Amino acid sequence: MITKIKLENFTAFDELTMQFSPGVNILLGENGTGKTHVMKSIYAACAVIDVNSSQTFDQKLRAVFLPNTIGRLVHRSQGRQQGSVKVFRQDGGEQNERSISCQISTLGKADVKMARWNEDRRNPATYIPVKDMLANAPRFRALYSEKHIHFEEVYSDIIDKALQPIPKGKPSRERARLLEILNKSLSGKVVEKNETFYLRNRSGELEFTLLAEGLRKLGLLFMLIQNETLTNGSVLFWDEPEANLNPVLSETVVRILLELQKMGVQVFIATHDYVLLKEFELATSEESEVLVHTLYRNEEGKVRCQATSDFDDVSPNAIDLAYQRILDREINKAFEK
Amino acid sequence: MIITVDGYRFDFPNALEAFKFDEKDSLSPHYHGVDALKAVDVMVEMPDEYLFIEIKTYDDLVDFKKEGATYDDNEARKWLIRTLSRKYRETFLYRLCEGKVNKRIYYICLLNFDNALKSYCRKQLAKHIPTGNANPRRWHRMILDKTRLLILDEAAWNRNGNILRWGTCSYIG
Repeated sequence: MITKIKLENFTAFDELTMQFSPGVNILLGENGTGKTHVMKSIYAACAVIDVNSSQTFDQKLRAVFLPNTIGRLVHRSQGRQQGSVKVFRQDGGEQNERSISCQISTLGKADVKMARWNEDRRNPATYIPVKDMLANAPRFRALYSEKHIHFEEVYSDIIDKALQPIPKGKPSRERARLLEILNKSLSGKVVEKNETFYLRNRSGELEFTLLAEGLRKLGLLFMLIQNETLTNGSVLFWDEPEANLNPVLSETVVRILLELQKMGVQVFIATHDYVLLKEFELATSEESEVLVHTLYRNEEGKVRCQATSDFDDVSPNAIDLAYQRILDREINKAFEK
Repeated sequence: MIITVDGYRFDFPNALEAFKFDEKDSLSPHYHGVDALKAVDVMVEMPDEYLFIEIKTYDDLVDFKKEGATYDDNEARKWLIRTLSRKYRETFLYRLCEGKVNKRIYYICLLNFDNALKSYCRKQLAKHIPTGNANPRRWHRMILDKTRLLILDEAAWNRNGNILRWGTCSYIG
């Protein structure tokens, strides 16, 4: 599992260290505080040990961030020449942390160092980007590998993950239960033919392009659970699960994420959504390991982070502050006449 | 004028009157005395306004949960809205009989819920009181002006100048 990230002069950060929960990590913060950057950095580090990937850390950073040059990932400041990102992991029973780091110069040099990072290779990380890609899957992968098209690699990767073959035999009891929950919410199951995804139910098969985008997200989860991409020891990154999702479905999403956590999947999500956060607060029990990381800018404009497992202690909470501003305006409206 | 009710201390320096409205002590000059009518917790008379203040906390809902044999989430929500609306309406009726509804009335519910839930609660409560003129063809006055329903907590009270000009509110436990 991922234990820590250290960022120095990297993208939005001057200097930041974040410690993670082995369970669910919720990243909060206003736009521009680097939530997605944290997730993409860790995802790039995980790709190095992916059995299906041969990219190096710096190559994957380039592919998922898509800067003009890798030097652009160095935190912009006068006279600053170098930045770095270092990711740590430690699996159950291990004495010491493993790590991988990439030092980048503004001139475009990248130096990767590893401490036992790639000694074991696996299929560890899945990144669900904000925009759904399953509806656009047919021939996208071929296009992406043959032509220069300006898509961050996370969009291509997620299609690869969704298209992984389904293992033979019956799914485990836990997995079957999760699929059943998704079946109910989707009123059907997801099938794939020639890279095209369909929702199959009693009425027939419906192409994903005709399906509401929020439901496509549940469909993607269905595929990732069914093909065992999300399994014990894997890591799931999900950027704004709430995007295009009816808030009513947030309960299902949170339930699935907490169940995945119990199955040994480490989860990272970035969110701006009150409902999703509240669903986590209501669903979290003593068995759940949920840590909320709040990224914010201090008075000097530097990004800092506070982490807590107590939802009442989340501060500064950008979501709550937005509602607070609405409440204050509502109160002051009482005195307008 | 300082008054302490249900763990909250209010200080209204310019109030003409501030007292515990649901007073149970029959020897008190502010004894409520009409069991059939529900009452808000605090009544304040300012030079130009009446403030009806009701205090409800998350713990009140927990107590309701313990009492309710057929409890579910919807029941607790309905109970809260029903209680808050009934308290306002019956206090309004009581004050009407006292001849004391001749100034602007503000209904302030002190709730320690999330800010997002306060907005939701305000909408539901506005429907149930009801606020505004519910029947313009026949009504000549409103039970409560729709903008004068305020759902807030201690922090919101003390950061909004329009409320603070009446006085301060602090939770003392």
